[in-house]
Amino acid sequence: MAISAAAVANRWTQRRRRAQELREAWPFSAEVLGFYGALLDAQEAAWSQARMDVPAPADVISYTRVRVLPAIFEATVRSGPSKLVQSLLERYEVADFESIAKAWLDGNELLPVERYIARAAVSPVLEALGTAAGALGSGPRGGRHCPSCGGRPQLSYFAASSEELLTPQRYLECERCATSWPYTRMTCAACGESRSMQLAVFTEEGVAQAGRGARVVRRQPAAADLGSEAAAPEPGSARFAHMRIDGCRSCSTYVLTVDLGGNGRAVPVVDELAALPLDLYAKEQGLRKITPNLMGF
Amino acid sequence: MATVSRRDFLKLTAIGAGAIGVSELGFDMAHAYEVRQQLRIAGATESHSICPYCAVGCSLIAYTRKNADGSTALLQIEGDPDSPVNEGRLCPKGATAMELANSNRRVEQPKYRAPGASDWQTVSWDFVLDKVAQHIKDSRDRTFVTKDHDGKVVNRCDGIAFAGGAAFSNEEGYFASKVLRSLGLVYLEQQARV
Ligand code: SF4
Ligand SMILES: [Zn+2]
Ligand SMILES: [Zn+2]
Repeated sequence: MAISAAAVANRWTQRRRRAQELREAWPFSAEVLGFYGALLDAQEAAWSQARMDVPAPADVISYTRVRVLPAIFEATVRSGPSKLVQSLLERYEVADFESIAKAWLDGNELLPVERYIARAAVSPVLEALGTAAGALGSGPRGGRHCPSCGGRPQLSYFAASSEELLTPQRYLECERCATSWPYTRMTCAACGESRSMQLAVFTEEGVAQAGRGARVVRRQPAAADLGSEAAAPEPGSARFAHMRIDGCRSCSTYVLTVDLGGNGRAVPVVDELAALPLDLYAKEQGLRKITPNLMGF
Repeated sequence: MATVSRRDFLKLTAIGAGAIGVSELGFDMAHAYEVRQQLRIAGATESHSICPYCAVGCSLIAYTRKNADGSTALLQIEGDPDSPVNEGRLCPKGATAMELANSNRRVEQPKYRAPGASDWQTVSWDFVLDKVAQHIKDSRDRTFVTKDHDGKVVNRCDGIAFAGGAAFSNEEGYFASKVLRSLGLVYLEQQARV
């Protein structure tokens, strides 16, 4: 499954574009996205470099320490929130990084700051290596784990639909290497629970509501949405019309789902980072995210 | 800016282990928290169902919500992308399955148009049941065949045909065929396809 270099490079452009868009549309996420935008530059550079260097899987961690970490570290110190910067400066020793990165790949518990630095630096390299990164990381593959590297799902999304009467497939996206893979809609992405009564979907009111022009079928993003501001949230309408919280009462976790059919401009990884109020709500419901995202939410 | 009460502060601290109103990595959560307070979020349940309209038997996902009065509201229906039958697709008829439950144009009382009349009038269920029973009896009495051309006993009713609706359940279809065959009907059909 070869993905063209241009299509993949486009991913970074899309992320940057969406981060900029949401920073303005959702001021509550401006701090997070401002920092994310600054980090994206360092991450994309690391990704391009790693695509040329193609480090062997066994060398990925040491490669990252030498070639990627300094720029990520610098971008963080320059643009990160002061608490993160302080704890990074306090804890940071170059020698430490490799064991932290190793623990992160093994899915071990880490301090938030450790999780952040491991992920910020290693993930662009994993993303560049694609399936070759599969040799890294421990644990099972497939199903509720990334088929490539075994990572957990960071988020879930519904693909955009090509036909009006077609409900598209759900995908999960890997926390580590950004691979996505198809996954059953009505099943918990953490524990596999599939009994409806145990699974709760939370949406902002007015998103799908009986009586006032409820969506009988899936809305198709108009062609115009892809190239204009048409799909930006309109004032007064639901802010998170294209997002939902997929919660599971059996394992008390949740994952945010982005519906690309509901908003053609959304970029799942960015919208997931920015939807802070939904995270606050899910936590009030006693749910914990399957795995915290890059910014610790 | 909304004031944040002490209780709200306690909630905020539960979000990140860090200082008040600040996330684990140090992001200021006050604005996000304010927006959270304005959000009206409601929970829904997804259930599997099957389109009632034809024999293809497309899989549906039905979104429902419990109302405060204990009733269940049907919010949305769409094709189930994980079903091998329809892979997320619905035909235009199935895509409006929700209207079967929710349409405000649904006729809820029986209507009767007398022979020669041009208008429908609203009548009672008793009126309709009596009327239908009387018509069935009259037609059956008039057209009942006890013996065929060769003198064989057949005891059948040639004057009535029956067409079952597409939204029939198995049980309804079984019941209808038993009742109608007991009257001697042989022309039974079921609209089991689009
Ligand atoms: S009526 Fe349409 S949607 Fe329903 S089962 Fe038949 S083909 Fe499928
Ligand atoms: Zn992965
Ligand atoms: Zn679960």
